[in-house]
Amino acid sequence: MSIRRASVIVALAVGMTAPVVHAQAPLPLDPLTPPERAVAESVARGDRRVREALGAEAQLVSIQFVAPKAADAQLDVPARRHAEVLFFLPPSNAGLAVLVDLEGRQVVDLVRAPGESVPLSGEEVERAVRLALADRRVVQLFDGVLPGFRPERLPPGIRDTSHTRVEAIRTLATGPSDPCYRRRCVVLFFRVENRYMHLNQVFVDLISNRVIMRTPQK
Amino acid sequence: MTGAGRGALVALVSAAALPGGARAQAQFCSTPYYVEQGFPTAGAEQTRWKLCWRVLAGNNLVISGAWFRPAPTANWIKLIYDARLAELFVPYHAGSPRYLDVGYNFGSYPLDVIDCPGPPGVILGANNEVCKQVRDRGLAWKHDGQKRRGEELVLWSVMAAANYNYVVEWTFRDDGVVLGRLGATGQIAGSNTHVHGPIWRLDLDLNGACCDAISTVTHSEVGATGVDTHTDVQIEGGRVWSATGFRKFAIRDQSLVNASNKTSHWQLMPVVTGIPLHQELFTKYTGWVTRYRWNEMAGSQVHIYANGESVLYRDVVLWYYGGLHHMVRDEDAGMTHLMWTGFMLMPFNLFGSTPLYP
Repeated sequence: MSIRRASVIVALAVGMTAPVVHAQAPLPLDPLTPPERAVAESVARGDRRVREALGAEAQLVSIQFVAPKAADAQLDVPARRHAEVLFFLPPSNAGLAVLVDLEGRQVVDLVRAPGESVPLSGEEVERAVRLALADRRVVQLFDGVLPGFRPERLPPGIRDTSHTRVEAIRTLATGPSDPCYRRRCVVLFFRVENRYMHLNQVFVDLISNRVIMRTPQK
Repeated sequence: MTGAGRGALVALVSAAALPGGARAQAQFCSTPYYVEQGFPTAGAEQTRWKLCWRVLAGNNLVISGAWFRPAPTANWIKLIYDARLAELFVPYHAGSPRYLDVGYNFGSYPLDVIDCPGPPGVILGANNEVCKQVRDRGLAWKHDGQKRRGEELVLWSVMAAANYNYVVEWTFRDDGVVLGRLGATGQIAGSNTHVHGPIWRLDLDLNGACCDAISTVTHSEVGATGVDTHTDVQIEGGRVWSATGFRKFAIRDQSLVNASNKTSHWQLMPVVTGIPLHQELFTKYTGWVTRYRWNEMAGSQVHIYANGESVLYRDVVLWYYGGLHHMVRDEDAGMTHLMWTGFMLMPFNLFGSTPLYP
């Protein structure tokens, strides 16, 4: 399941021209700067093997600083800065983690991962909320009148929590008979004036785009 | 930061390539991600920590490097390469839901002076997402009239996970102990009992990445005789935890010894009220040991990562799975007060004698 890159992969139009230049150079363990994030995504998307693996429906999940160690690492920190660009591939319910050498502007590794280990993308959260709010069973939970919910895009923690909104949490299936078994399910939380309503009743399978209603817990 | 200060920091970018002595002085991250603290906070210094942190969506507060200096004249000892919450599994007694909170990629909630009063509290980060506190930790030791109070450096942040807030906390004590804790608070989802099951990924590079070993240390008794058995973990896999065996997971470096020429360890001891075991394979063991791979970061996949590779004197990763068993009570009706679970990493034969003494 893993495609391991053994060596330098590709020369890109965006790369190989000059090293990444920062107004203030980051230290080895600093988080990614906005220019580095842009370079990471550009290099990843520009790589031929990444493009072939992504297909048309791939979704960007995250771009994060990563500090990979060499096999014979003797250094306290890596000598070069890297980023992990993580994609979700809906057709195969899998992830693709792309390791980008920011200074060399090249992809140095790409690894497939099970979909279960791939966090949800912002697009998926919004889609789950759209699907649920369009479902008449969900509307009926609110006596036929939805309170003007907004989907909560990532990251939810840095915004005002007082507005009426829908939050979500990833969930695993109970077992093979569960409609979420080997799927990509979220549970929706409806929050009105800082109170939660109809908890653990509305599930959305993001692979089939199906809304699943469950009996509320006692 | 001043221009001169920035210049000095930039000059350190290449410090990773320096030999050990020079490297030990290097600062590998910028303000505010860099924290350095000497102890005691008043009087002559005895021990010191330096570390880097960052906050990620999902994992929340990650320690991306930590070094300990057991004496002002001693060399820095590297302990942590990367320590993070790798998943937070929350299954309910009814069977469903079974939340993966880290796998949702929740963000952090910004802190204010009520959360983190200062001084000595300091709020760090572009989004005010981290609280740094240096505080009294109570008695470090006492015998009759002899006594000493201890101190600790604490960093914590809050994962805003819908109806719950989780406090992700890392503590670095003056005696070399590291505590990792998770606190759960917020609004309950129904009255169903559930478990908050954090799994931490601890990439501990004791004295550097190379050549670490992990062993289990287990107490047993035959008749009146007790014995402690050290068993090296030879290949990747899971290990159960035994309360009656006082089981510990000890990490050591092939070459690190103390002043008495004894092998130095850090020992992981669960701080628990119970051990959660569920049907999901990654929950079947309290401790997991794997070889380092840059992309193996997901706690829910650790049973796949553990595929039988040799881990003795390699670059190893220790995973610890703990849990809070939350029986919902009427006192939770409005808001659940903070509940904690976690672990302690304690030095063992790192110092040549009692630290912070006399």
